[in-house]
Formats: sequence, C-alpha cells, structure tokens
Amino acid sequence: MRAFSDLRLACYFGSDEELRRILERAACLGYRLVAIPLEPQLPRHRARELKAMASELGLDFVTRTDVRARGRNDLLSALRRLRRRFELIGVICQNKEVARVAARDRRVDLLLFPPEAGRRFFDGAEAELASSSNCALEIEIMPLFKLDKLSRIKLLAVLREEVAIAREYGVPIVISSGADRPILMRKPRELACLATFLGLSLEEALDAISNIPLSLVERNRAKLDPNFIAPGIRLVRKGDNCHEAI
Amino acid sequence: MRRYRRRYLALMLEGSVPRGARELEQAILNAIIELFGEDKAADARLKLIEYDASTGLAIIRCAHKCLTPVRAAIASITELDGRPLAIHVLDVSGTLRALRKRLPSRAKGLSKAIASAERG
Repeated sequence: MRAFSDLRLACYFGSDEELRRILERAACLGYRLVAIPLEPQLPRHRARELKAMASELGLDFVTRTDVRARGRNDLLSALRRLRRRFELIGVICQNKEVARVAARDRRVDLLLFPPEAGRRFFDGAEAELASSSNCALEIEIMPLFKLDKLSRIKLLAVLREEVAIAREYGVPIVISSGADRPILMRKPRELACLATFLGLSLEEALDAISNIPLSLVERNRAKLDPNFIAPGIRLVRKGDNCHEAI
Repeated sequence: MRRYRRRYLALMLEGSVPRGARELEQAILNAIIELFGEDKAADARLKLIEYDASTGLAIIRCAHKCLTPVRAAIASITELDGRPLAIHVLDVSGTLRALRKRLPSRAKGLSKAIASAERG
C-alpha cells in the first residue's frame, strides 16, 4: 500500500489548535507524510514539538522551508544557513538566475515556480541541471483552481510543457496540494486525478505523491543523520571494540 | 449492444452545500465541461443517484472509463456561486449495494474532521 504525502500544505496557522486541525484533516484524508513550509528562523525545539503533534495523529511531519532568494549570493548564503536545519529545502525561483543556481545545487530538494505563466523558467537547460543534481520539480495543484479561466489555461499549457521536459530529462516530479485553507485539501487519489490533467499518467501521478517524495525525504534524513559520511558510506560503529564487530 | 460498465461514487460535501440535488449535479457537470469539454461530459454519463443536503452526502454514477476525469472534475470544485465548497470522494464501487454497505464507516472519520474544522 502506498504512503501518500503532501509536501506543501501552505495553510496559515496562528495557533497550535489551528495546526492540529490541519494535521487532523490531512490524517483523515489519508496522508502519511506532510510538510508545511516553516519560517527559516524556527527554533529546533519548536520543530520537534510539531513533529510530536503530528506523530500523535499518525502522521510523519517533515520539516521544510522555502527559500525566496533575490540572487545567487542570497540563495547560497541561505542554503549554507538552512541545509542542516531542515529535512527539505524548496527554492521559489523568482528569476532565471536563482532558478539556474538552485537547479545546479545538490542542497536544493525542490524547485518551485510562481503560478504565473510568464514567470516559470523550467526549460531544457534547467531540467538538465536539475537532473544531474537530483533536484525535483514541485507542482502545486490547488492554486491552479483559484485562477481565472484565461490565466489557468495559460498556466496549464506551461505546466504540461514542463512535465514533458521533466520526463525527457528524468527530473523527478513531486505533486503537492499547495492548499492554503483546509477546505482546499483533497484526498491523495483526487490530487493524483487532478495531476493527470498535466499530462501525467495516473500511475505517474500516484508516484509523484507517494514514492518520489518519500524517497526524497528518506535520502535527506539519512544525510542529516550524524552517522552519515557520504552517499553509500555510513558510520556503523566507533570506539575500541570497532574491529571486533567486523 | 453491450451494457457499459458503471462506477458509483459516494461524495461528502463541505462548506456551503447546495440545497437541491439538481444544483449539485449541475455543479459537477459544469466542472467536467469546464475541464474536459462537452464531449467528455457526454461520455461520463453522469447521474445523481441520491443527495441529502442535511448530511452533505451524495451518491453519483458515472461511466467506468471516465472515472479519473470525473474525480478530477469533482476535486477541482472549490466554490459554488462565490461560496466555498469542497467535494470529497469517500468511496468508489461497481455496485450501489456494496457502496451503501461501506458508506457509514467511510463517512465517519471525515465528517468528524469537517465538523471540527467548521467549529473552529
């Protein structure tokens, strides 16, 4: 059975009670892995509290932050500061320079673009960079249905092209709801059905909300583990009795 | 002529639920037409079987081949006449009897979460 995820619940929460309601809804809709973009300066103990709250509801809460950088230096300094603190890092690419640097950097997990057709920079060159650095393209579904008809049609055309490019270059696609209110949250199957609208098959769409995000999170958690040394190399045991174990 | 296969969908409505069955059927049909056009809407063979505005539960029927577009269209509904509305698919079945049998258990969890959100 698939474990479904929604890596970008953009719901605003003012209190713990509101957050609990959002998480309850996510659990009830059938999600197992959820993430809400958090403030970059969020204290570590607060992140642990959020994880504990989600865990009570049977959810796995992923700490995630979205970087809005103005330029290259801005982005690189944010990545240096935040990479070890969050399990997932998304970059909202507001210009081409940021998009290119983010796609090239291995510390970036998800590339996001603004929901305006003219401000998306996911072309062949971007996809090639993203594919070599294992960066995924994240597409939010629900903001699409808040646009007026003409803007939606234009954006859909761009998104279909992006999905085709991502497929061609082997860039993983992650589908998230981007719901900013609980009423906009949908069940995973419904989200997958909506994603077929972008040119994905139902199976690909289901992978984009289950297997792909899950592997992304697992990879990052392994990297954040203190025993991680390099991809494929992990400290199993240290100390005097080390050779005995071998 | 071979009888076409059908799928029955149990729906739960949240937000400003339509008062009449016709209004709900129209909203779903409009969403299908808006996303996929009249051609797909005709293929979908949509029919509202029952609707209870007080509980927000509804059952619709569609053609088996059009299940994915119908689900997508249902999920795309975010408002009705300017008021927020969400329609969740609780369950899908090939027979009405099986769907009705499973419905109470499927509706339980979600209706509780919706009630809690509405209180908040």
